[in-house]
Amino acid sequence: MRTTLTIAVTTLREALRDRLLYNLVVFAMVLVVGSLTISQLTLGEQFRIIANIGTSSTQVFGTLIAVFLGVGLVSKEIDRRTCYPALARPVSRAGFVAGKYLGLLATLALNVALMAAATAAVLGLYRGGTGFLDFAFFASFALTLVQLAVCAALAVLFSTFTTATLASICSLAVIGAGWLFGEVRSFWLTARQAELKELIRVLDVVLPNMGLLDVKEAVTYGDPVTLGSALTRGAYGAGYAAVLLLLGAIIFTRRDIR
Amino acid sequence: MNRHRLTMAVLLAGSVALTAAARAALEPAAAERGSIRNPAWLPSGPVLRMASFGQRLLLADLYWLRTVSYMGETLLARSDRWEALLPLAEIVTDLDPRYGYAYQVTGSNLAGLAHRYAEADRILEKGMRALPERWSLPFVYATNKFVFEQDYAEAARYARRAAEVGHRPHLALLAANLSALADTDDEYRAAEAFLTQAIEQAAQPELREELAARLVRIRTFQVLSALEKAVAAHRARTGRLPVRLGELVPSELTAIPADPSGGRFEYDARTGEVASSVLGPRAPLRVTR
Amino acid sequence: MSDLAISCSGLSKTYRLGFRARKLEALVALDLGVEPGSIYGFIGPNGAGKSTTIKILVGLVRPSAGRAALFGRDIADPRARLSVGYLPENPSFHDFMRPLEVLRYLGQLSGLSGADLDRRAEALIDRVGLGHARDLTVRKFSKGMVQRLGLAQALIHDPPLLILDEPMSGLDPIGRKEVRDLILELRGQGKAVFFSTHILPDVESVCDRVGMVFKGQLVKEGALQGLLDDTVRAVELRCAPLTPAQLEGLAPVTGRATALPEGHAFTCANLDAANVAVARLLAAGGRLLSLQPHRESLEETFVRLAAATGSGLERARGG
Repeated sequence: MRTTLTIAVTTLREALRDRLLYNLVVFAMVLVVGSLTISQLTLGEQFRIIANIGTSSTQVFGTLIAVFLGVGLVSKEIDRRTCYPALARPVSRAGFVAGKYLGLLATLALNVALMAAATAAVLGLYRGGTGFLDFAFFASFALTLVQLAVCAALAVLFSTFTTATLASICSLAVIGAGWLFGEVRSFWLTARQAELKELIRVLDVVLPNMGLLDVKEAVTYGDPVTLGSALTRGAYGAGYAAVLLLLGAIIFTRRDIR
Repeated sequence: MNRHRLTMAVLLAGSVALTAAARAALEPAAAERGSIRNPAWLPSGPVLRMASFGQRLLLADLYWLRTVSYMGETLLARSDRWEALLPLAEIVTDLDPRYGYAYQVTGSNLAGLAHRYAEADRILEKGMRALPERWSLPFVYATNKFVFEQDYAEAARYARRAAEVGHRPHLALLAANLSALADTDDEYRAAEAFLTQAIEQAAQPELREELAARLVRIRTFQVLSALEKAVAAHRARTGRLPVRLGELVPSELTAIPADPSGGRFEYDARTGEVASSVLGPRAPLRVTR
Repeated sequence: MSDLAISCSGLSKTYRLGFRARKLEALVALDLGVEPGSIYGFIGPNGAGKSTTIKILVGLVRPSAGRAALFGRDIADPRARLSVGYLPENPSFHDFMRPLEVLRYLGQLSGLSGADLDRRAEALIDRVGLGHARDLTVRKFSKGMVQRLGLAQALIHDPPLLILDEPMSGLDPIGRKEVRDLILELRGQGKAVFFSTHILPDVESVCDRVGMVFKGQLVKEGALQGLLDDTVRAVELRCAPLTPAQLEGLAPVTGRATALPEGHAFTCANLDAANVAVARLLAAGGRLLSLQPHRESLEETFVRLAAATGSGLERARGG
């Protein structure tokens, strides 16, 4: 456990030096601040445009960070042989993967917190108050972090058995399919074909239903989010990520590093 | 060495000139690129929603900004080609069915700017299905019906709906006036019932008084309307106007009703016009307060 | 198993490569034992299976068959790696770290912490000669400095066994000597050192035992001296000048003589032949000046064994 934490801290330190991270974060921040200008292109509903740009850019850029740092998490350690002296110590492979993942998760949490703060600042500037800062606002950003945790776990899983490029493509494809599935699921449920229902049953298990982790509409419209709903959603995402991560750990444990 | 430098300088200058020339050639066309020439090229809302990968709200905003700029461009161009407005609004509201502002602005502009009333009805009806609580949608609908289509009964119906879902009793005044414009028994009854209900719900005494006064006026108008119809029927039957109102009994009316405003009816046998001694003739009411 | 520092029995590794799962036998039934406190040189050409063996021992590669243990603890148990310091071939570290941070990070992974770890890290930085570079990040390190840091991290938790993969590769002659001295010093502290190399003078100068691996198989193993006994290639016999009659009498046993300023020289095929020749020479009244066995160098032994084992080195390369 202590070794896992040591690896996590090192991973966080390394990630915080990654230029990719800063490029994406800076771009996202510029977008959020720029949303003040963009929102002036229409007369009403400027609040929702600022809120949407804030929550969406947190998601989109967070996903890119999660995937692109995630695929390099283990594979870069192997390619650069930096994991050799670490794995030759009393560190289990699962512990190593967990440590790397936790380090990335901490990076993502920092990123989401930063984006949430920026969004809140811009919204506050526009509204001249902080009335919008309710539980739903924090729950939405916390659940975005859970989404990113799923994305990162996917990236780690794929990177344990394929190249970084292929792993990023696969991860983004599955994440996209997860969003898509969340949208088409309700259509399919009402369809008459029985095969579609079977397919739904399979996809429910296989694909991450990202829509279930998404309550950013609550920020846009000020909907209430209950603690129970937020926790259930969080549990779904955390459980899904844990399964992916365990699979990744099992594959990595069986893998020869040569 | 010098010749080398010269070659490089010429190449550099040539490249810059080429870029500038090409840009100058492309720019005029590029300025038009944003405009939507054929709405058939617009994507389908449901497909776009599926392909939004969870970013449908942001996508709805982007399409809304596009819709706003389309309206601006079309106005500036003074062209009456508004055929992309509804498709754009459909995309926006397919992406985000809760985008009430989009229904409202599109619904009002489709009627007011584009004079495409059926399309205005369509987007507003879609909005009222998606957001039954948003009173501005039936309000815009009522305004469209009244201002552009002179369908007062329909306008009154939606004004009452706006008053109801928006909990805005003063809109009952508007609804009553629209009912009076409609001038049918059904509408008078509907207005009476709605005003009675609004009086019960109104919190401020001033508003309650105003609503009560409007109720009296509506009742008076209803009776005046019935008398006018009876006079017309008498003329159709006998070929002349009645000399007194009493002549209407018993053929046209069972009895001469009392004036709900507390006055009495005055009848001009030369013109056949009926008026209340308190409220005067049944005249179209101002729709605003 | 006994408490040998390293014990392997029947250790095999078959890699499956590519989509068609082409098999590559990197290691075939390797048996190996390393005594605590001894230096074992593991020698073979590139791709012979040295690195595979080492990676199995430190847990980077899973054996296909066979068993291995470190101080009696099976390598499947991560705790077996508590007692090993490992220097990878061409080691590499997170390049944003300073040497002390590398040692602290890896030391913590070996279960060290706090002031104890700091003290050891400080001492090792000086011990491996990186004292001047403590404020540089690893990115700015030369290859030799990285190798020194690699040695330091292998020693950070004071393990009783060191497994060094090509520890002298990429070092200049001074660096090689320092590593050699370090290995001897470690043995002096009672530690076992197991290192691989493809450079023969490395093992000749320090090893207690040597194992030669070729194409995944241990082709020869033993004490350095014992290995040398088998490698007498010829014995040169020198004697005082002989008369033509004496030369003729010796010719059947020794072959043609070479004339030397001080007399004559004969080349005997092996020690037995030399003994017979000496007896004849003395019987014929000759005077023996010197008897010099010519040993084949380890290099030559290796080439001979390689030729006997298979069709050359080329095929085994790159595996």
